[in-house]
Amino acid sequence: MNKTIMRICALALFATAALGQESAKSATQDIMERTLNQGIAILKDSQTTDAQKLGLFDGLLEANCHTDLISMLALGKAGWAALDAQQRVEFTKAFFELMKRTYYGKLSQLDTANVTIIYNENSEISATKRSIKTTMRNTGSGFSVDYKFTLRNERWAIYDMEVEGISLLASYRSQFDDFLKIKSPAELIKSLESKEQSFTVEAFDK
Amino acid sequence: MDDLILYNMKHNEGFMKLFLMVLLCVAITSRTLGEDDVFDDFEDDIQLQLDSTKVADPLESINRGFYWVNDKLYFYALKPISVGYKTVMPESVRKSINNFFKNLGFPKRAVNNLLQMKWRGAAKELRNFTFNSTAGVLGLFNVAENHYKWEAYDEDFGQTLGYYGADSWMAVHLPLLGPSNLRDSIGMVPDMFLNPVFYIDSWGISLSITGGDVVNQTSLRIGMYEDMKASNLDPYRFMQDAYEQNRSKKLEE
Repeated sequence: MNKTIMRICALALFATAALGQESAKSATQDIMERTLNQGIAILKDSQTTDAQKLGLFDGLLEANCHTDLISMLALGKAGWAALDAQQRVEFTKAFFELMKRTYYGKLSQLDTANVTIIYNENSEISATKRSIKTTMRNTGSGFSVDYKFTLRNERWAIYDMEVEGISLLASYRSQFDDFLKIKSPAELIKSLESKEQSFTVEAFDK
Repeated sequence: MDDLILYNMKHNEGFMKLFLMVLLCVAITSRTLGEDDVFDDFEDDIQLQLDSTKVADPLESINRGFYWVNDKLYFYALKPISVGYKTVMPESVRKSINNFFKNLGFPKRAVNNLLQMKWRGAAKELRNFTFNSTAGVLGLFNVAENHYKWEAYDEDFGQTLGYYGADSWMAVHLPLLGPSNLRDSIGMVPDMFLNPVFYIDSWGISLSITGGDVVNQTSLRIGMYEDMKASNLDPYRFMQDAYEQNRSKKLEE
């Protein structure tokens, strides 16, 4: 009797794991398609101003990215440990703003009427990590954008993206490492905040 | 016989219990990660990526000097010229000119595909070149990519050297050309001989055509450099790192 129950339990766990992988695949795929479709719809809307579009991007990225985790990983274990609780909040806010403007700036350069997104592969990295490879085609030319997802607090969301092999996390980690070798965390936060302001002036003044 | 059945049942039961316990432990630990565990879970991947694309930069001060010069050249010469050009030249014409120069890059791409024994890549490049040069009116229209969705198989001599095991060696920031490494800078020399523009008798005309191509390309992506500068604390470091990451991906392909 006991043996039968255990067999049923084992089968149930196996089935749960298999179903879990399938549901993870469809969950990440849904997030990916929803994020990109909404992002392009925001850009296409000629009735909204740049400031309003940025506000809409705010919600879009908050909902579909692990913003806290991205901040932690971009800074690295040692860098994150060097920040006090208040600085961590400030850093996360400043870094998120910069990321949002960067992502918005990149997408706004596309000819949104002619953007095609090809979903190439949705693969498992580990039980809690997945990767979706896409190609973004814009009036002929195409470039690869790979999104990495992780399951955290029962929620699948993006934690890194690679554009033509250039990782957002690796690029910022390298810069933050160099910066913190010679300057303080407070100066890092200040620099990010001033970058955010310069972005507003430079990026939209083309 | 009964003893044997009983023995098997007991051992199977033990195995089942152990198996279930392991599965439960995995399920529980994956849901209760602390801050340190979070870093441990991701740190190896990020560090591996950083290490695999990190390249020595012994000439950093000289490289940063060239970056400064290129930056000024962009804002005080290339950008104003490109903006002026953009205002008088319709986008469709600029895209066609870009297609024409891209089509001229066929010898470089095809030869480097062959050197890397990528026979299919070379054959597909030949197919794209044939279609673009005929149906695409001397390459002015990229029929292969736009109509048939046939992508270019971009290879250069730097990638060929990488294919045969050459390292990046060291970071280099070239005057006018921007981020590179020593391997790819050396690779530019043989690639130059595969560029049809190089064989124009007059150096003046050859350089003017190349300059025209640069202005045309810049006019199609004004704002990208500004965005990059605005979104990075150290644009020089970002450019060198991004260059290496991108080249590393291309080599993997």
